Formats: sequence, structure tokens, C-alpha cells
Amino acid sequence: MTAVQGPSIDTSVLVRIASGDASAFAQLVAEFQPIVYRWALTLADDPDEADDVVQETFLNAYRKIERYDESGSVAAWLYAIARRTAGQRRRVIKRRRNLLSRDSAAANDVYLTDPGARVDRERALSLVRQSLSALPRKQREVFDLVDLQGLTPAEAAELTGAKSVTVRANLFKARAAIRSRILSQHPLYDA
Amino acid sequence: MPESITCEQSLKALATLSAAEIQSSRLIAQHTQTCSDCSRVASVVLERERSLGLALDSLSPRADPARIADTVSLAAERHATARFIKWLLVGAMGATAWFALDSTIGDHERKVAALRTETFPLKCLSPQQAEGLIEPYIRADGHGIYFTNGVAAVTVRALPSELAQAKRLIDDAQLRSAMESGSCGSPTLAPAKP
Repeated sequence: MTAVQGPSIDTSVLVRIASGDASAFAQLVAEFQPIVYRWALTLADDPDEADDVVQETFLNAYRKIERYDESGSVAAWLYAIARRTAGQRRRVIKRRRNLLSRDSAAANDVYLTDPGARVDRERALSLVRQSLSALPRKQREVFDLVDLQGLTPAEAAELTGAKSVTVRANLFKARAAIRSRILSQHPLYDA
Repeated sequence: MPESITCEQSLKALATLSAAEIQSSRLIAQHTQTCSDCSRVASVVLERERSLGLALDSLSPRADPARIADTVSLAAERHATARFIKWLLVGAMGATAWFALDSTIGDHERKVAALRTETFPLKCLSPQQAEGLIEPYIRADGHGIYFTNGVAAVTVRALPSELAQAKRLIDDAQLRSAMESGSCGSPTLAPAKP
């Protein structure tokens, strides 16, 4: 199983979750929410959708906790769920809205009380949108996994269920698309 | 292995190699030392991707994890309840359908299965006479009254109670006929039904 970067957690926590221990589930969410959100930023079509993907990913993980295979890492298992969840959300016409209302999420939003952090966040989101939103989903995903998260193309292929050659092709296309605007400033650049 | 690369080769490499490969490439490094245009775009490419990685890493989720955990637990409970109710409704629908089918098809099947067949020998009645006598009483679904030309008997397929009634009617009629004529010879046999 591919070693997806993420926090490590004792598998006994998953056993406790399966037996209905709410505090164990809270522990899992606290540990993995940042990395799942990080994945969701590239798996979702829009960074604004990422919060919803995170929420549903944990909901699906909770429901399918018995299916966790101990031979793999929790991070890889959650990545697969996040990926599937993002895909389902795209396909479902009538989306089930997130269980936390946007208002309640905003009430906990530290960025409302810290203008500096809010500006930084908006700047970061803008950069993410600018760089990734125009890319097809598969290109975006492999670019993030390989170039930004440091997986090898083979690991990314295993994680996404694609052929290694397809991953490489998507990777090259993604790089070219992301860099084309910069490279076009070169006088000899010919797209 | 080429000693140096051109701007076109440099641009091609900058478009497809990873940031790490660009940084470690000796040929690109040599070229960018002498070409300010390539040097500039290479720097921007690397800086842009480094910024993008940092931006993605810096973005933290807005929702409170404890709240997510609570909400997910609640949603999972609701989902389990909804699933239980769904199965309950499916079960109820199945039971209703089973009873409905049983009260129509099953009832018919049971009635047909209860039918019995019996042959009554005739001494003073013809099969046609016997048929005319018992036919109004043989009403069950799937009933039948059969006779063959030249055979002084009638075969009846009906419910046991109907067979008993038919037997009684035939016996009474034959007894009456015997008393009136003294004895019964072979009954007049009419031609069989077409």
C-alpha cells in the first residue's frame, strides 16, 4: 500500500470507533482533518467545496469503519474515501448540503477575528484557484500528489488506480499548463 | 550527452520537468547562467510552485473538528435509523404483497388442491341424466363431470362436500327409479358429447 503522507494513528483508535466510542472518532477527526482538507483542496473542483468534502469524507469513514484494512495506512484509506467522496459530490445533481451550516462554520472561523490571517488565506486561495482550477481534475490530482506532496508517479498511480504511464502523461500536461503563462514571457516561447 | 542546451531545449525542460529536476539539472543551470530570459522564467516557475505548495499547506480547514465529529456521529445515527425504517417499510410492503397474492392466487391454488375425483357407477340413470342432476351442485373452481360413451358411470371432480352431495343425489334418483320400475336394467345410453 502506498505510504500517503499524513499523521499516524494507532489502529486501536479505529477499533474503538467501530465499537461506538465517540471520543475516539473525535481524535481521528482532530488528527486527520488538516491533511484531509489539504487533499480536498485539490480533489474538489473549487476550494470552497473542500470543507464539504472533508465533512462527508469523515461521515463516510465513520460509516465504513469496519471495512478498514489494517494492512494499509489510515491516511491511504482516508485518501481513497476523500477521493471517492469528491467524485460523488461532483456527480450528484441534488447535493446534500453539508451538515454544518455555513453560518456555524463561519462562527468558528478564526479568520473573521484575524484580518491578517484572512488576507493571507484569501491570497493563498487565490493562488490555488489561479493555478489549479483551470486544470482537469486528474491532472490537478497527480500534480498535487507528485510535485507538491512528493509522491512518486508509481505511488500516485497506485493511489489513484490509474496506470503509471497515464499518471506521467497527466503530470506533464499539468506542468505544461501551469507553467505556460510564465514560459510565454520568454521571447522564444512557442506554445 | 550535450555540453549545453539551447533556449528551446531549456523551455521544453522547464515545461515538463519537476521543480526538483529543474533545480538539479546541470545543463539548465549552465544555460540559465548565460541566458537571462531563461533564468527569469525558470526562477518564476520554481517560485510559483514553491508558493503554491506553501499556499496549499498553509490553508487550514475552517470547521471545528469537534463539531465535525459530533455532527458526523449524529448523522450516522440518523442514517442508521433511516436505514432501519427503510427496511421496516420494505418488510411491510413485502408482507402486504405476500398476503395479497396469497389471498388471490394462493386461495385458488388451495381450492384446486382440495378437489377430489370419484366415479359413480350408474344402474338406473344415463350419464347425461346424472350430469343434469348433479351439475348445479358442482361449482368449485376446476370442477369437471366426465363420462364416456358406452360406460354406465360418471366421473366427477369436485370438492369432497360436493362429491358427497352428488353421490346422494345419484343414489336417491337411482333408488326412486328402481322403486318405480321394479328393477333397473342397463340405463339408456345417449351418445357421448361431441
